[in-house]
Amino acid sequence: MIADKIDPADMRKPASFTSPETYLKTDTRPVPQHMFEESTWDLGNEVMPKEGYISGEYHQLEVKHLWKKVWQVACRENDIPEVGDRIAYDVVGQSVMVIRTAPDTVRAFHNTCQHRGTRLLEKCDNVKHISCPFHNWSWNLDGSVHNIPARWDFPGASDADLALREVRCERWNAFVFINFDKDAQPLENYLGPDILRHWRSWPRAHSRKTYHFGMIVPCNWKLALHGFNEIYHTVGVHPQGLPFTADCSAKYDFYGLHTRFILSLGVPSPFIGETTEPQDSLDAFLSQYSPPEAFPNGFPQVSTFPQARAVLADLLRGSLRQMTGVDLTQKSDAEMLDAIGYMFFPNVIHWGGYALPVIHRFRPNGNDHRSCLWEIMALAPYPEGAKMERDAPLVMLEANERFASRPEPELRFIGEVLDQDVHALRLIQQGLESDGFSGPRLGNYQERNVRHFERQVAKLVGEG
Amino acid sequence: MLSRVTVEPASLTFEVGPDETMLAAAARSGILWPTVCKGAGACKTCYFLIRSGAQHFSPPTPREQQELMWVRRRHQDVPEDHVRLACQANVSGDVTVFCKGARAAHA
Ligand code: FES
Ligand code: FES
Ligand SMILES: [Fe+2]
Repeated sequence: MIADKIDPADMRKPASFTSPETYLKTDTRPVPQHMFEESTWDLGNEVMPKEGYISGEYHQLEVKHLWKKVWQVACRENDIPEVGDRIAYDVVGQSVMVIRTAPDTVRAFHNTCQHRGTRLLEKCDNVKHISCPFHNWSWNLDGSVHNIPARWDFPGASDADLALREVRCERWNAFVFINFDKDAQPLENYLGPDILRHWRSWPRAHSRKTYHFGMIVPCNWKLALHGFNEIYHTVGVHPQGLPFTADCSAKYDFYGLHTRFILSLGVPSPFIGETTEPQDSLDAFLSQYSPPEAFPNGFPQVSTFPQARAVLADLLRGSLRQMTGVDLTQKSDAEMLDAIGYMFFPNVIHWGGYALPVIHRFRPNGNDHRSCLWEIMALAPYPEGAKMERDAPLVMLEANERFASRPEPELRFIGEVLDQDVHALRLIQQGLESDGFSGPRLGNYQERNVRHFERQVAKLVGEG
Repeated sequence: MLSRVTVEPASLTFEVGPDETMLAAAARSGILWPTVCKGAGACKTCYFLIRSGAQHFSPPTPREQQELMWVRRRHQDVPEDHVRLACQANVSGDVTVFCKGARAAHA
């Protein structure tokens, strides 16, 4: 059995656990080969240092060696679909204006006036020219000078001196990435051949961002990110998911700076495997994620786990087709159902497949390393050629607001789960700063994506 | 005094002593009851719904109340005080409860 042969570590799980590969092999459709691939190794069991979460100096090192060096997602192309559309991306005290300068060209500039430094764009809008509200300097969309009132008064400066300062900007899968480092390697090298190859299975170019929420969370940005990069916390935070979440069986892989997890759904956690029948998994899944009126005659009946997964996958194919008109008949049950979480270093987790193409993005809250901006967005695939509306704009929640009490229908089924995550994240920074805590003790297997991530950060920061 | 507990939908019965939790008594009687935290009152997976005999249950502690918040939201069709944790509740009198995951252990 592949599942046993490729077991990466003895402590991964007791023999009775079923691995994701086992479920992939019972799929009703062909599953992309890369989902079987394994790229993981033992990173040891050392207690991690906690400085990275509590020290202002460490934050400054991160600014210099991480944030100003890495490729980072600034927006989606469909945030700025029309020529002249622009949007601001703010991180660690810097602001970048991303602007569509021609139907197929997107460029990025430092969001700052070359006269006296005024911020040019607050959030997003559409313009014919870029201009500064203070003394009306203006630029063409390509950043070259358009007009400077009383130009004669600045004899020491050439037009080139007064042009907007450009920031590196490259696109992949309709994500617009920026990089502050002029000498950075190209984006595709940064993502690496494995990521590029895997994602050919799930093109996102013709997908629309259907919602976008943000919240300031009182913990270091890396702690918030970790909360979405391990499945271990299901037992503590999302116990209602245990009947349909194979938590400790999840698979964790490393790809250069980046990581991936694959979590099988529609099958129970090994913690309660003995007391969960296939029907229980299906019932629990559907009562969590569908409206009661959807099944007037009760839930479909199943007698095996592969059957439960196939039925759930089919329901999802159907509802996506109804919602967006896209035909996913050929896509495997696993791609329709499972949580396939890719972490694009350093701060985005995007789910592959079609279950819920959600995007999490994390950043320090300005230059405060003790709080962060967490955003959650979701993409919906559109059929080729169908006209997409512009992406949904960011809606900020209040610090104590609950997702579950928001009016947006998109949050009807996942609001509660997100609230559970936030509840845990609200408690972590304070406890972690205690003198009684020497540093995170990460699980060898289930938290190795977190350990891998921290090693990459430490490497970058150590380069100073 | 022992009390008799009937568990739906598997139609199991077992007996509980006055100072014993339902979870402990079920385990003693060879019944598999969902649990992750093994009775620490933290995982909420041991929850059940009261079908009859509600008056025979000990009142929930504030801690159990708090843990039950999430669970109750999922069972708004039953009265609030009919949702309980098996690792926290004591009973004194015969009751019938519903716990989807409870099973007879395989022989
Ligand atoms: S049990 Fe994980 S942080 Fe306490
Ligand atoms: S056994 Fe975990 S809450 Fe009761
Ligand atoms: Fe979570």
